[in-house]
Amino acid sequence: MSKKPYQFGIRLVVVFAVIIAVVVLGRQMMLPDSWGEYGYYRGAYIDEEAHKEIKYGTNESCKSCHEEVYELKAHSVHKRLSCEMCHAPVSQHAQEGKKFAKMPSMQGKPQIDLCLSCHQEGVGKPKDFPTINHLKHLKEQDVKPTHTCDQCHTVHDPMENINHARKLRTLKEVVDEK
Amino acid sequence: MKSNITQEMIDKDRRGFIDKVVKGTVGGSLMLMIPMSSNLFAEVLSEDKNLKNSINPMDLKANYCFMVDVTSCIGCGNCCVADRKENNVPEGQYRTWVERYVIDMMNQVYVDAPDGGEKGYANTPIHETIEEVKEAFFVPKLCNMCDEPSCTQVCPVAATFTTPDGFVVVDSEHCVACGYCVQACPYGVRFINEQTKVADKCTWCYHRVRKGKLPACVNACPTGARKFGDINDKQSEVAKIYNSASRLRVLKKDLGNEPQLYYINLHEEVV
Repeated sequence: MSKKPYQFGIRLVVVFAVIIAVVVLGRQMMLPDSWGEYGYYRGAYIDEEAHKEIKYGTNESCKSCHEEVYELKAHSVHKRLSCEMCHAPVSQHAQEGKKFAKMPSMQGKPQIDLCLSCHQEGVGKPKDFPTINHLKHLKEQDVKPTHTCDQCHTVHDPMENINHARKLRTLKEVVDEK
Repeated sequence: MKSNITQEMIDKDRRGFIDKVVKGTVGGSLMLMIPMSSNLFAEVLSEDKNLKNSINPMDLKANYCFMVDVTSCIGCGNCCVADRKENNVPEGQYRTWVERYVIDMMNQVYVDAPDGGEKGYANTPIHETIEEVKEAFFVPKLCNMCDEPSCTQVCPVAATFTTPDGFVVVDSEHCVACGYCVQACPYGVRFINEQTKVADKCTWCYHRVRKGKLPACVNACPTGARKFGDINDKQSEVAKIYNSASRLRVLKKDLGNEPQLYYINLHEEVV
């Protein structure tokens, strides 16, 4: 009993169909669901990336509770500074599962380190940026070397007291002249 | 009679006072005791007046760009600190860093970036062979978010790609950490994260931008040296700079990567 020639053809077609089906199904099973949603990559990752947790807020986040300091700072030379620069990210307010944890006020650093991180003189600083040599500055101003910055410069408005003192002094000079 | 009424009022008031104190104490301590996830706080954060409440859908009309004003960078390293905390970058690895360029009288260029500039440059001595400094400045570096990125082209598993709104990101679940992209990036901003063991890079804080916030480093910069915005929005600061006569430069322009990170008043020595 001999087989008819087209029977070989059918077998060939079936084998190919099975191979193609395995490849197509296998590819579908192996590829992530959202593959190709936007392009040749896993589209769901865009949402995953976008939903990552935010740690830093803005100064507006602090305003609702600390409006006084916010206003003081907003009109000072430090107006561009982010509160979180010295006070650590606002998300640390929600540490250890508590909603309002205590804020590390100066990130465990001495205050002078925070001030000098910007205002210490050094090679490369722009010329119009106010920098000091810390010890020299204290000597020039005739104060003890143990003085902290905020004894003269209120940290949120560094020139507040200085300007006030200058005004008073000019007033005195005006009075003396009379 | 009169004194009785007053006494009664005081008693009533006292009762009310004690009631309030007790309620306040119990309520207050419950607030501290009941564990609440920080996601709750994230909602508080997004209630800011200037920000949008929900995540924006992808803004396909926007053309986001980053600008760095080299002349106003003071090298305080605050951006690097903010970036590390915002994106959980392990110590010793950097998504963004600040380089110091020092040019001496012989026009010799010295570049250093100890600790990625994270600790500031106040106490960093300049190179010992420099006799006199002609010029010195800081150059913050971060992802250039190229329009024609080299890194996405070489990825064998398509784990790194450009999102429809133009950000190059790394799918950390899909990445096999082969490191091709680390080698391909001409700006050296990619690295294999020691903690997650996959490729990592600066994303211009995609998660913040999609929520209507500025990238963490831009928010942290005290002098406004880092700027971020949409060039297509004519009112934005970056669009005004882009359309004005200011000197803008990108790094390694001849490579044809078309970076979206622009430097303002950048010196020609910088590469």
